[in-house]
Amino acid sequence: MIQMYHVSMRYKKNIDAIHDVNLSVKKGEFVFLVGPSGAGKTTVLKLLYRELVPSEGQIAVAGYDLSKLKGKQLPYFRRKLGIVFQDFKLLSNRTVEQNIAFSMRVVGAKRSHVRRNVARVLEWTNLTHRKDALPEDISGGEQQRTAIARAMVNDPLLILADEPTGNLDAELSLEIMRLFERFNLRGTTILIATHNYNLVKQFNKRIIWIDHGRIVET
Amino acid sequence: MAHIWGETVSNIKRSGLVGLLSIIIVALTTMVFSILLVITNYIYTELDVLKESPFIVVFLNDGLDRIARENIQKKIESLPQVNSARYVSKEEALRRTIKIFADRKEILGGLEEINPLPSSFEVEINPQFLDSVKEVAEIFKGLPGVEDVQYAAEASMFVKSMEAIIIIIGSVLGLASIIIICFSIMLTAYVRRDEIRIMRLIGSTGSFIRLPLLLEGMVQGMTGSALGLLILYGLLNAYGTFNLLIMNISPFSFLTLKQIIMVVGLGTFIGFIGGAIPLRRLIKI
Repeated sequence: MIQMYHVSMRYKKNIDAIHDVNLSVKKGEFVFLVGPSGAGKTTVLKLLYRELVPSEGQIAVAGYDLSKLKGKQLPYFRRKLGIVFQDFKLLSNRTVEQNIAFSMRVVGAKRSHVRRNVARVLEWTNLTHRKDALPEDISGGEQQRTAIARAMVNDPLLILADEPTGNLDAELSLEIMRLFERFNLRGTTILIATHNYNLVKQFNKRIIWIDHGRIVET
Repeated sequence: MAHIWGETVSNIKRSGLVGLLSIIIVALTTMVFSILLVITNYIYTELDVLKESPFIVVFLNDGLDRIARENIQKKIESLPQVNSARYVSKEEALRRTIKIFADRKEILGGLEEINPLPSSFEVEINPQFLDSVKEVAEIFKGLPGVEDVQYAAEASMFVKSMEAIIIIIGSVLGLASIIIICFSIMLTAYVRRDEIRIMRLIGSTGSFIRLPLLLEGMVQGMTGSALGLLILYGLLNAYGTFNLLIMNISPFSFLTLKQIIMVVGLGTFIGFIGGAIPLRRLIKI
């Protein structure tokens, strides 16, 4: 599902955010990308969903060679992914249901399809009773579950989550991780970037360590 | 397409004061531009009347005696460019005017009693000398007893100057409207930058992101221009009623259907340009 070959990302003044990174993730795997703040985790994720273009190296995700990906193909590539952010990035003027449905509407899904899928993910994420609430009226945990539901509603092949529990307490963090586990059991590949090793070690999953822009061990 | 229109309508509702300001600005610029068109229409109507007239009209000062008048006529007819010069008295000028406005008698109220119309000579120019009409008119202007000289070409030149002024003013107003709508759309895109980023990251195509904002600009332009025309129509009607009651003059009529369509079309186009310019920069997919 993911292949990175000798990937480096250089910002200004020849500072490498990541350097000579090689990693692979198989289809259906659940992988933690662990490292301290500033290690390069977010950079790796941004490269994987092509918000950044590497200075060196090659990346293949979900069957796409990102170095050969043309602008017109980018939206269709991203539809294969689900992205979860640390700060949720929910639309403040839309309800929980509308935020989740948004993912399907912007890719032109039919109304009946949207209704069906949204109802399904609301149930999976235990948000049915909160579907008409605005983001400001729900808890942090519920907001993150909404963000995850939005990422899942289009049945993506791969979920990329950047510090999804960064703003949550221990109990909620565990709840969120279990949600990811449930999606993984359905076949979705999961890659979660986090600095919270205490949380990670509670799950028997593969860990890739990154520090100062380099893969330390996998 | 239904999604895109749905997003457009949603965007318009959420644009709030910024969107309203854009519409008002376009309405005001449309009004100013349309007023100029109304004046041009009026002048063209008068120009058509002039074209049916003799080529040069030499208006005389009031109170000239017969001898002074005949002297002027001799001097006019002495020029090789002149075929003939026919005298039109004040009374004859009034009779002609009454005949022209026979079906709009309210415009003539009071004219018969005071008769402000001057006497004149209608000068027919030899077709060989049409190029030198302006020079001949200048000679006539210099004759003692002559108040003014008019010729169709002069009026035509005046209208051409008016047209140039209208184009310049219209372009400046159009540019101002484009800039305002540009900023409105830029502000909209900036305020919605999170939403736009999310749309990009979840797989929205460029057109799905850009089109609603582009359509929003066009709707603002179209609504603004239609509103401007509506207000102008109301004002002209009110002005016409006022003048019929007070001054017995109501010369201005509204734009033709073709001009209305052109103005609304221009407004829509301005909205389109105002929407398109910022989007290329702001929304990189």
